[in-house]
Amino acid sequence: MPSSSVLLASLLCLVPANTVLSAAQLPRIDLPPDSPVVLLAADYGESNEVARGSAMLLDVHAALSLRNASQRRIRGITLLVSAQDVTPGGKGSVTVTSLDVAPQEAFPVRIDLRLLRPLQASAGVPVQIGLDGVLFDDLSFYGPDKLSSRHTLTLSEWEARRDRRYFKSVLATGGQEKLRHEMLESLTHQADRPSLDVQVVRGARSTNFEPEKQVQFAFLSLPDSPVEPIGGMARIAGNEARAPRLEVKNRSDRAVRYLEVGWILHDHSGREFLAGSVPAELNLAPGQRSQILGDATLKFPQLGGQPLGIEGMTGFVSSVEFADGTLWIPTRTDLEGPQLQQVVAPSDEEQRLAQIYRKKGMKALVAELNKF
Amino acid sequence: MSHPAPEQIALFSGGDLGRWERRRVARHVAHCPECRHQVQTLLEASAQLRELAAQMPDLTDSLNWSRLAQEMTGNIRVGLAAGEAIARFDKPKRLRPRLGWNAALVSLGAAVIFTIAFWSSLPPQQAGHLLTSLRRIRTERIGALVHSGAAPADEVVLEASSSGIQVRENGSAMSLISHSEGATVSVNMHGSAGIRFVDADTGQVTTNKVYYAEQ
Repeated sequence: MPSSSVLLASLLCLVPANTVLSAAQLPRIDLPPDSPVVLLAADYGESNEVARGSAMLLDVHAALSLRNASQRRIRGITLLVSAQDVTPGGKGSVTVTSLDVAPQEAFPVRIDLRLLRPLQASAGVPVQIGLDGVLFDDLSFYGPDKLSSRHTLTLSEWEARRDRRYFKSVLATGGQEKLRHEMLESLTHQADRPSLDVQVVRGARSTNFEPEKQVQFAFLSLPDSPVEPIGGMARIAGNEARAPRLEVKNRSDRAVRYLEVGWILHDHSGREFLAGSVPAELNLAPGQRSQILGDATLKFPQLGGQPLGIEGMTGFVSSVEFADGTLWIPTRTDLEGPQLQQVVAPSDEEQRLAQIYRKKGMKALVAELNKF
Repeated sequence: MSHPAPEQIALFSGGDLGRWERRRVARHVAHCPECRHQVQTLLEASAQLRELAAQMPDLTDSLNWSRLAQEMTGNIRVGLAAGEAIARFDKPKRLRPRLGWNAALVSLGAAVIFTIAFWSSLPPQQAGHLLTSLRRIRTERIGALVHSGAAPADEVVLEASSSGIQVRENGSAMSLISHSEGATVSVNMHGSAGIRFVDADTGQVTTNKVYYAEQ
């Protein structure tokens, strides 16, 4: 029917059409000349842009293929993603951990990025991708480290070594049956952890109508922790938490230069979840005390579909970096305590091993553990 | 020449007089050396007090400003509730014939003049508190305010949910998307939000993060 065809054509004209990105709009990838990784290929398959009201939405799907051009095995890499024309106040990163890339071997890095910018914004190259750091198997590091990638990648590698050691000991003492039990428990734990949406606003005052109150931290005592939390408080109003203030003491015999305190929140119905961490770069001599202040506000829209009312808080030392570059992280025993087990996510490596077990089975998992 | 009362001089030196009264006293002080001297003395005393206060430990944390604001909000809310309660009673029968549009316009004009006069006579700080309280009540009664335009300038917001993370500023946004279920969200008070996921096909562990610029 001609009239319905015209109507259909008119309706189709109203649907915003996706446009494939031009070469000028594709991300620019800048790796330093002496970079230990080189770009083999970049595929932007389904990248496109579409107008949304008075804004333009750019969808960038980049599948990068990188090659290890160094003489050492790569354990982790962080790429810096910036879109200064779009969000001058912020930037992003993509970190791949738990890698084991031999020299000259290629590995993929996938970046799925979405940019929303006003139509009147400049239409130059929207995204730059650079290298922030590479960690090798001997824990040496390459890169500008603008995003503290050295710490992040080293911490992940320490956790990976701890967890591989643990699962290998499980295999050695309890056999495949015990390892299977551990993997199933890990998968269950990953599925059961409460998912949480959160907003971070820099230095914002409370916008909640409920009265703001100061809440004291309770602390979990981890016996081997080189740093002891002495006291602390934060301001809580309804579903907002801000301005944590913590006092810590170095009880080890080595100077500490960085530490992170995990922050667990409790709501009025007894639910607990890991809200985030309070990091601090400091110079804490043995026996010395220091205060850590956080200036951001955390807002939790809801948890499990229900509004969240924060009632209490618990803190625990989640990682410590000494002045000599070595790290302290909680032991498996610490993490298996009743409170931490509920809220702390498994390490990158534990998630990777559990995924191998789920996708490829016990034989592949044992082979993977025996590689290290 | 009649001088303003001492209380008015004190309020004037603290900037606590209403707009019209302030203008009147200022005109007087500009031409009266005696009152100008009094204002000068009060200003010096006030500066000394501020200096002393600055040397004292910070008590800002112990003052419960939010409680004070709540009390003010509560008082206004009680007033509104009382108005609603009275409105439920039967209205008295009209004894006089309707005066028509002219009377309504006169009443409206009087109300506008009264409101402007009341508002302009309020000291700036009290006007600010009242405005804040009225906004709160409006928000409570008609729902949350939604800014359809850009976010307040300079406010960089990081958001993390199980589908991805985003840095948002002035209507522009950059999101990094996870393409796997069971992603782990984390935030850091130093100004970053992250999401970690395991690629179902490759088993690769990827952590996407967004940061404030200064990091």
